[in-house]
Amino acid sequence: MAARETLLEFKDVDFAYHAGTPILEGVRFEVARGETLVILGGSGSGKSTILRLIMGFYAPDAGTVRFEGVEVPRLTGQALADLRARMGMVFQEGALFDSLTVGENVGYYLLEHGMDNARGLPEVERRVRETLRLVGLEHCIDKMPSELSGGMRRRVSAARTIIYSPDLILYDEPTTGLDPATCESFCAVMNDIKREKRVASILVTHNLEDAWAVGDHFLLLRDGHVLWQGPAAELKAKPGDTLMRFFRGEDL
Amino acid sequence: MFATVRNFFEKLGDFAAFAVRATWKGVRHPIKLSELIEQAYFIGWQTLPVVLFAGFFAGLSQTLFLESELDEYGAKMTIGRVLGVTAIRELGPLVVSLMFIGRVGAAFAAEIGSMKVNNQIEAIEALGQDAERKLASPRIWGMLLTALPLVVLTDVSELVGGWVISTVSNGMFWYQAGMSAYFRHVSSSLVKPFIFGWMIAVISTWYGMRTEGGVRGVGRSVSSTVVTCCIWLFIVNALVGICMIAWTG
Repeated sequence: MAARETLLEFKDVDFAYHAGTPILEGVRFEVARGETLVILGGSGSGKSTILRLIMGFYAPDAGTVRFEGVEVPRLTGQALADLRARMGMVFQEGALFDSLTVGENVGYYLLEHGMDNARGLPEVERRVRETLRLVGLEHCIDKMPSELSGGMRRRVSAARTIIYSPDLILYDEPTTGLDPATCESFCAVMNDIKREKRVASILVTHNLEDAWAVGDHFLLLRDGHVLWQGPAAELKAKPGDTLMRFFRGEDL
Repeated sequence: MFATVRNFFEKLGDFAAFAVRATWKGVRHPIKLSELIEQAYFIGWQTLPVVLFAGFFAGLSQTLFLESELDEYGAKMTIGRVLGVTAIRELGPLVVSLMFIGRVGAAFAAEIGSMKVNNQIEAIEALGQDAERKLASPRIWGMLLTALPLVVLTDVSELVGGWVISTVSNGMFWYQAGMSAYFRHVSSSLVKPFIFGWMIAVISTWYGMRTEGGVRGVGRSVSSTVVTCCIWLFIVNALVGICMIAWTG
């Protein structure tokens, strides 16, 4: 069995948007290559903030975030942009660029990083089609984002991220507001991506079915504190419905 | 009270840093020609009919009342010159700037603000790009590129508007209009478009990039852009006017 190789280290992080109202306190976890960490918590528990700290949108007040040993908060300018390009983020509503077609959205990274020329365009189109096929949307390549359903938009958003093969994908509540069947198909896409690209991922959600469908490790967050973390099997083996007790606000 | 003052200075500092950064980034990492053409088309070409229309009628109405006033002093034949000086020094840059604020600045704030509240700006940064460089710099440089030609054409349309309604002879009107083309007048028309254009582009993109609070936030950003730009337009116009008078007479 291969040794667990840490990709991301989130160490003793404190963070507040406004002084005096902490969002995260002493949060600590690790993500290894090829693993999926599920962060569960109620609204306002600080889940999405963790993803934004990992991407370097904000710097922690205390503690640090390391990606392959590199301290993310210390990076600026091009170094930060280069590091971000090794991660990918799938946003809650997809955050697709409305003025671009689905194909242009998915190929955005490649087009903006030197392949916007006669030699690069056929390769971009090939990779866009291949990636859209992976998320089951090849037929939508020429559509505009406004013509897509919520679930399709999020699958396009996932395709836009995986086309450049990041090492880590961050999913920010990607199934919120979707019907159960669409949630299930999006989770299948997440698992396909994980299997085919061998990518690590963090899923932030409060949907238990999604969490069980994709999670290797779980982190339960309440009011900015880590209540419990460990492997999915360990959580499953606990007596009673631990996750329901967690969401009811009971002690675990 | 202290918090309000501190908040004001924090915002001012943020704005000043953004203005320098966003402008400089367009030089440091040259903007794609296609992006610049897209902005120049939207800012310049699509604004052209509006400013020509506004300029024509501004010149026409100015001539209408100025000519009768000048006639009382027996100076009616100088209408071309008076209108020329007014158009070149003040009216042209102000008409174009007001159209820029209403048509272009509001659109910048709304477009970028919508992107902000829909996480598209975070998405750009997550894709390894600098959002200021991608969204603000092309708009600022597009504005700088197109402001001067628009002001010059608006000056001409104002003169044409005046000429259409003027009762002095064609020859006299255009001879007098030509007398206004002195450096001390023209220099204003050369300086103001760049200052006003830069100011409007920076204010509107800054409000767009700092939008918060969903759709209402976008509305607030657009409204703040229009009000702030209008107020600063007249303040800066007066300051530039004073400087130009001191410099060129």
